[in-house]
Amino acid sequence: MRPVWKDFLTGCRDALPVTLTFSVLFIAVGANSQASGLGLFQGLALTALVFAAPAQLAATDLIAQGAWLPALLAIVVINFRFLLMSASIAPYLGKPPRSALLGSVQMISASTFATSFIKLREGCMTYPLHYFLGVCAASFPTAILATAAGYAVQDSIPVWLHGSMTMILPIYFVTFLAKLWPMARFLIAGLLGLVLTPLANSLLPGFGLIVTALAVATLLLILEPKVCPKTT
Amino acid sequence: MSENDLIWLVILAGAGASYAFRSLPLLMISRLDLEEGGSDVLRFFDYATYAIIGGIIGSALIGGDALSAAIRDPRLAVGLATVAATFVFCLRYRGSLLPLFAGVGLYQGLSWWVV
Repeated sequence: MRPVWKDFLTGCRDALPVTLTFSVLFIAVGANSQASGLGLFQGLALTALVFAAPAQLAATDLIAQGAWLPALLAIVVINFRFLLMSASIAPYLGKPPRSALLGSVQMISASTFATSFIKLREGCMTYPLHYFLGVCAASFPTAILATAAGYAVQDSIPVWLHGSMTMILPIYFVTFLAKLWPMARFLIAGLLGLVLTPLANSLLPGFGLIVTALAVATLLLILEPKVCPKTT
Repeated sequence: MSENDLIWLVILAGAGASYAFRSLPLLMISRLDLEEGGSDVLRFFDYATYAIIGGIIGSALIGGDALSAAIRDPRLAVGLATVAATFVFCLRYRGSLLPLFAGVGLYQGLSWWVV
């Protein structure tokens, strides 16, 4: 029987790209929090409790303008996508005690979710929750530390680096889609998501991601027997 | 209420909503035995997950509130070229680290050249 710690350590190891991505992303989040007038502890609390860079960036921009309710709504609307992520990963986490689930769900982010989901879906982990916790144990503290670092380096981030800071997440997420090759039906889902989400976002700001994901999943499930023969 | 209190209020209320979104589906679905009779549900969430992954890439490339402006922005072409090249690179080398570094390097290089 595979020991528990082995799955945990595999999670930590697989989270290495997440820690690199978070190091860059949350430095930007920390810098933005400071520029928006949040104190260090408020910035750290925002990362620890909201734990979603896009929601944090949007909220801190609105806080800077004194738009308190829109800031809260931005967090609520952007993090609404966690409903779907949480529902998607739930079947692959096994049946751990409820208290263990309640303690670990806070660390679901787009990156920890995608990293864990791809691996857990393969069904190769004896202790799936421990694998997920391994991914989170490497990623979550990195986000907190990078937020603090963002406060320290706020004025010294070179302008030319800003583009890479926003592109590191999509570049990392492309590697997940590449791992799906040659499963055409899942690649089609990813491609449709890529093309349709910005369009849906322009029509339903904030809800584009979840609306597109639900629509694409429904469409592909309906079409599955005709155009997408099962590959697994 | 002071500005400081309002910031804390936004943080804590946002945290509560975020935690609810993260925990409710997990608590409900983790109790269901989907392997037995729920394969359609599992595949639905599979498709939704990959659409989300694609959607996060798309949202980063094109900002939601300025679609027409973003389409004319040369940075979109640079971003798309980077995403496509990273995909091909990842097919060749697998793993995530090397393609991640290569993708960021390529984006930086193309940005200097094009933008």
